Amino acid sequence: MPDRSPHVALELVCWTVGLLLLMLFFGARAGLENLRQHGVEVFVEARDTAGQQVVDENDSRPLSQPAKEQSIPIALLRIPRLSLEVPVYRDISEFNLNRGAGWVHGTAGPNNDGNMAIAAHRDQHFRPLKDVAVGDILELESLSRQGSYQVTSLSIVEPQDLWPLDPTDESTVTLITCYPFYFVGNAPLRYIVQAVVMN
Amino acid sequence: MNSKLNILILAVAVILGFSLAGTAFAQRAAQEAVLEDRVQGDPLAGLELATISCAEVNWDRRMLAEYPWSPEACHDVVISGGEHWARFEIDFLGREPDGTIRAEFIGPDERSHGIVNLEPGDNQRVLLDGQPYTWDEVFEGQRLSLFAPEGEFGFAGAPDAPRGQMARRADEVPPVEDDEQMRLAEAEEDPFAERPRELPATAGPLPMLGLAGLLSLLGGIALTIRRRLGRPTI
Repeated sequence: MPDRSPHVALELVCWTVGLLLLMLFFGARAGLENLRQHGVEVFVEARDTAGQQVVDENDSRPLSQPAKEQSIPIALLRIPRLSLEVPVYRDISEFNLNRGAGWVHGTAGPNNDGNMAIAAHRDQHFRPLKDVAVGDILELESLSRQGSYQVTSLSIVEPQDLWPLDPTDESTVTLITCYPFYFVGNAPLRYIVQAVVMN
Repeated sequence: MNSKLNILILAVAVILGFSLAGTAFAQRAAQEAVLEDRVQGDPLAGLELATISCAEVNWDRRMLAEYPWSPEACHDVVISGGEHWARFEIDFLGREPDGTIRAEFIGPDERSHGIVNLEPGDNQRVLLDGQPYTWDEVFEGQRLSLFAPEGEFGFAGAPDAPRGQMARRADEVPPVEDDEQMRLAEAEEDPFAERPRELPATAGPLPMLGLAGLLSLLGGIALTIRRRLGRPTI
């Protein structure tokens, strides 16, 4: 009996740590999902009020406040077939990638001419991309414009392969996430979805 | 008598002279005070914000090539004459002997995007609290707004200004000091230098957390089974 007590202690530690980590995991997932939903709501609110902002000296200028501007998504990305709806923030900081997708700097802005690249975590918001197919419709809504795009290509590239960020003549949206989709840690490849604007 | 009259005339002239000089000085001081007060004036006075954000502006390719930080440095977008104008804020650093303007572009987060020498347009005016002033009338250190029309290259002092009054780059002051400015200098040379050197990694820490929890729990289950199976039966 005495020689068994260390095993019992280890057993207890394993159960406790395991349960705590799993609770943390599911709690964090729920929290991030809330952040995503909140981002969508903030975007919708900003879109609805953006048209009413005529500024005079007494105006509070809500959108010109840097701190608030940082928290407003610049666009909303949807792929209806995959039930994917994610806010797109103005950079790919870890905070933004946790609460949505991020706009890759050096690429075109949303619904503009050229190629806009958007990145997000493959194990969170871009997980549905594993089921995306050529021909799927992608919607990108910015504060004043809405664009519909059709997926034209799916590629797997090395991280150093930068052609997905190259400018394009046609208005294009390029989605970037890690590959393989089921991989613990930093996956070695990148999954690229390119969609071209529909006329 | 004549000498008394002369003294009187001289005294009146001196008083008048001092009075005029004092008035002129007071007027100038008042004007300077007004201008200086307007450093803190509302940069958007009388302007109408557009419904699009800076990220949505259709930037001119040359604008992005010469000033790749434009989307980041842009504060907001106003609409005038049916056109979108991206609004930038600069700290006016003064005029060079050749007439060019030294301006430091300040982003919405108060971060500097570098010092640029601009060739002012003919009769260019800049807005201070909604009123137009020439470059000679503004003071060093004043915070001013410049406006870039969507899809065009150059900076106007006011939205809807004639295209001939647009300021364009005269020279770029070599960046100094920190890494951020070095990075901006590289961006000046290569319009796509702002983009990452490799495609972003998009793995969050959550799966590691989940896996660790699962493994720990499996270890606990295995130890429990082992203990129960190993217990002597009566």
